Amino acid sequence: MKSFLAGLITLALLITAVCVNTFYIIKKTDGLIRSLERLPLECSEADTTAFSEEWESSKAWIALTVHRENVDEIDYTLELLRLHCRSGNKEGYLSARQKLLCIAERLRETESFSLSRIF
Amino acid sequence: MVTVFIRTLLIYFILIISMRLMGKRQVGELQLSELIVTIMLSDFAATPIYETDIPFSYAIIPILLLLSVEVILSFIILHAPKLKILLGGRPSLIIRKGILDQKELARQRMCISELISSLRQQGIADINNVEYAILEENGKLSVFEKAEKKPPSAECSGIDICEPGISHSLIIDRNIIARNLENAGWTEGHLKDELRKLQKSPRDVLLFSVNDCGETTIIYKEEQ
Repeated sequence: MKSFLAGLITLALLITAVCVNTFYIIKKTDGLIRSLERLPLECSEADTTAFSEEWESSKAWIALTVHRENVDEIDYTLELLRLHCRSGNKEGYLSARQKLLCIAERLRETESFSLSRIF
Repeated sequence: MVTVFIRTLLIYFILIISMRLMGKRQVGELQLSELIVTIMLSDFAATPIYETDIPFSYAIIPILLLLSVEVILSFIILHAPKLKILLGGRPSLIIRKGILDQKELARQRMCISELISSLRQQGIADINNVEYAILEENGKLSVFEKAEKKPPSAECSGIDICEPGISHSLIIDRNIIARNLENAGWTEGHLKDELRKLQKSPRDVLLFSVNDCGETTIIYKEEQ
């Protein structure tokens, strides 16, 4: 009986942890997507820095439960975004901005309660 | 490399704890669900060791999930015999009262040569000597010989013998095992007295065991 209860509690804790983690990641990625959409089409270092700080604040937790490849891709693209912004490369900046949006949306879809990626 | 090293150690200890919590049967004779869990555990454990891009939680969560589901399922099966049969199958009578059930043999996809081989492995050279052969859920064959083929027992021969039971190891490699002393009904003082009669001490002994009839077996440590 004790082991059954321990198993049940473990299962309940796991389900809770998975759900809490999913809600957290969805919330954070939604925030990142909104921030990216609010980034002006004309580059602004202040805005890109603000976005970078927002990402850094969420990164540690997201990296615990998400494939490292996604996290690295965001880091890399963010660096590109800042680089293009500093160098005044508008096309590069817009391309990096769009890529970040795609990655964030993909991350949200991967971590959401959806059966689309089961098979 | 440090990541791989630490992950290997962590996953190793987590697996030991998980397998220990699942019980002895996981290590010994496996039921179907237990076999599946063991196979899956090894894969879940191995992948994050060399795939360092995968978060550690990708190993921990599946391992804990399998552990909890296996424990819950085992408990439910205990109280639902029909579910046990559904998941684990039931034993099959291959030989019943000395007669081979060929239909059951075919149902189990077992050929006669395999059956003969299994009987041989159990020390039975002639299938005619078998009263019952049961194919258990874990795939092992349990065999019961015909009474007239078995060596006569002490009871049949009217011989009164002491039941030797099991052998309790009281000293293993110079160390006195207190738990076994208790099981054998001996005290440490009694043990040392017996050794003193032989002019020995526990430090001279590799193995000292006693059975339920009081017969002792002593192996002394060889001088290096």
